[in-house]
Amino acid sequence: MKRSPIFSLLAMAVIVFGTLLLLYATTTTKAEIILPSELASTPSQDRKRLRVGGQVANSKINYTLEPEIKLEFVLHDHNKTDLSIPVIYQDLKPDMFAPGRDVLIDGDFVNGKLHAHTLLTQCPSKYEPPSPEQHISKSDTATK
Amino acid sequence: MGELGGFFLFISWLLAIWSTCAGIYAGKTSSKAYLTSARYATVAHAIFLGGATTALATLFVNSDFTNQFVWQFSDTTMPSIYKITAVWGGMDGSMLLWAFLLSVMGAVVVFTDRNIAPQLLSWVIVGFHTTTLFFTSIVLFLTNPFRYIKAPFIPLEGNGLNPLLQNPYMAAHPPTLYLGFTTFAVPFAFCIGALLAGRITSEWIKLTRRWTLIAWGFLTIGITLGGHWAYLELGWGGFWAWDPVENASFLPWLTGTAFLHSIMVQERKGMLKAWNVWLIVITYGLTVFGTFLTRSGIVQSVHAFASTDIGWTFLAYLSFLLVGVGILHYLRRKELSSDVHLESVLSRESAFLLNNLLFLSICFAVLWGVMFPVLSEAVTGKKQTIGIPYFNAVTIPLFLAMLILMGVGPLISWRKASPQRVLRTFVTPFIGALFIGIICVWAGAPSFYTTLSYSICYFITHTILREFYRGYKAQRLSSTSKGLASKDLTHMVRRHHTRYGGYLVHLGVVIMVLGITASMAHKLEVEFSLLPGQSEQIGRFKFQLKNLTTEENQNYGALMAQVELKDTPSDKILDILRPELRRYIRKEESTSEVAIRSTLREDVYLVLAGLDDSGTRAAFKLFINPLQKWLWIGLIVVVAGTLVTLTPPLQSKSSA
Repeated sequence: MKRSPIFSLLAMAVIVFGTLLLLYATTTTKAEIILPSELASTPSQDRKRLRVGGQVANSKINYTLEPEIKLEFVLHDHNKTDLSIPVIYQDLKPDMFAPGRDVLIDGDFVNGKLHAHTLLTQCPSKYEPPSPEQHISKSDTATK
Repeated sequence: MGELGGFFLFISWLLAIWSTCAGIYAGKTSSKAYLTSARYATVAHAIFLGGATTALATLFVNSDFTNQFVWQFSDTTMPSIYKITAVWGGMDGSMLLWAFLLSVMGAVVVFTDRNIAPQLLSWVIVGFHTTTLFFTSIVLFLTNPFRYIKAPFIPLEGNGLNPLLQNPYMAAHPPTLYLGFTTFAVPFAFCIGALLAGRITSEWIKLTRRWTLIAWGFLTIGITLGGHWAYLELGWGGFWAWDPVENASFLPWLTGTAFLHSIMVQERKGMLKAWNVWLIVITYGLTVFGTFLTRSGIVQSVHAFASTDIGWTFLAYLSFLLVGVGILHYLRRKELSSDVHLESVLSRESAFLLNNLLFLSICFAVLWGVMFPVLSEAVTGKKQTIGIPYFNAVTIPLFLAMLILMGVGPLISWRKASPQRVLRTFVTPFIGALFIGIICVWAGAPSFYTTLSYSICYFITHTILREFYRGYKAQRLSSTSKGLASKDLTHMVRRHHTRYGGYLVHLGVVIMVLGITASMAHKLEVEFSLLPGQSEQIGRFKFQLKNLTTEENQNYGALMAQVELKDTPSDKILDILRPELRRYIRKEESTSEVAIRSTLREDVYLVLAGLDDSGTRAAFKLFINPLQKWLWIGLIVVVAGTLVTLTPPLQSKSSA
């Protein structure tokens, strides 16, 4: 019995097609991962297709519904408040969005402002909570 | 209770070590006594892990906050059912549950397969404990959930479980997924056992075919349930976001599905021996890799598991597995080589091989997408990532190719099919599919892929229904009794349960694909805001905000909207939608309770997003997802098909 040459050709075709598809999709959709502080240090440089992870600042969050739906806030690196950038998101405020929460933003940085297309709040579901000492001041405690 | 749990865990760990040693000894010397000992120890291992899991659940039910893990993931206000599901709300308990489910599989195997060749069974037990020993060690040494709280005081109240996890799906989704993962460990263990024992025939595959099916079924249910949960709870109108955690469960599903198909080739033709070994090793390996991915913190994910060192332990274990199997492959290379080759491209085995190639391509593409940020940084030094557009761009064409194969493959004969016959088989469904395609283009389908998807779905449905009809006709002719038509149909399906079960699974997949295609291609997403009394017209629907109310209870405060949904122009009231926004006081968080009106035609999915600063105007997000329900109905058909395949075949009375 011998191998079928047509099958080998077909398999090669699938592999070649798959590889080209993968490379094409990668180059056309990749986004740069960047921190708010890096954007803040070069505010005049516009950058497209970014993914920015950071923490929502404790300053005022502007949220309007009328005349247009708009969410504006300030973003800085996780636990580093010195360098920050303004963010504008023209969509409804997502669940669990609050000051101090870590968010992941896909968007473009134009004229010193980050225009978010998607905004994800980090789902705290499975995070490991802090040690109980930090909570003890808040919650009632009993001696052992 | 905590001490008892820890003690049970320790004993189960000792038992895993003992069964491994006894298994090796029994495999080497064919000692019956040691094999029996290894079997009993495997069962006892499961019992003790069950005891440990029960102990942890008891701690949760009693809200025993002397336990660090209980404190972290529960509080006294939670309903009892969520206190139990909180066992797998965090990593430590998840690992314990995983180890426990794994041990149950082992116990079932040593019971149901007690009559197989003793030498093989001994090595299978050893193979099995390469997994249980690892997981039990992880639970005992790295993620022990029975640790005392690290605080000078015992808190009266726990940290609480995330509100999103206080959901019935929490009871179903993670355990089903874990059942899928752990059941794949059975064919893996048999494969390792066969390699160790030097019995590289199709024996291990025949013995574990049902296990593979069950594992696949659980994984399929688990993944789809996860999608359904996300759809109902997260309020973004979608069900799949190509998140690294989702991908982590999807990767083993892809290779597992490939394995499910390729073992048929080995059973039938004796081909692909080495291939199947590697496929199951990779499938099992990917479940381990998924844990590495989600727990090491090397990729960013919305799930945001804590990054811990445990991920690297999983990677080390995975490397050990791969190197180990590599060595075994080398030692057994003669037995693993196959002397049967593919004869014709027009054959069932050729279709299966292409199926495998496509599944692995998709798997590779998904893996590439997940690992891209890491690879990019390592190679170019630039931090880059790829997201949903990448995954859609790569996987959609590959999945469509896969679908074509799904329509064609099962109807081509083994070894060598004649081109004339193939042409005859496919000419009518092909013309039908072409017709559907033309209609789609004429009706303005949004993309080529959409058109192609509908056409292929028609093609597959046509071929499958025809197979059912032909089989039924033949059964009707041969049937002597003048019984009911449905009785003949059941008889036919039960007699050829693997064939028709398989068709049913394929049909279910087609229904799911229709749901996915329609809800992706024709999704409508609109944001609007209303004052009480105001209404908004969107598509053929009219939304009127009747009133806004607030409610406070122990756990959360809720903002509730009552929205009347009317059909236009008939002005008939279709439904009252009641979306809610809940603010959890303790967790300082809010969640959306989406209101969904689900019909076969479409889902009207309404999210209450909050109020403006004046506190009177309510913001809504609306999704209209056509055929969304078909995705979930498709799953039921897939499960039904899997169950048909698993039922014992009906013994024919008339002929053997």
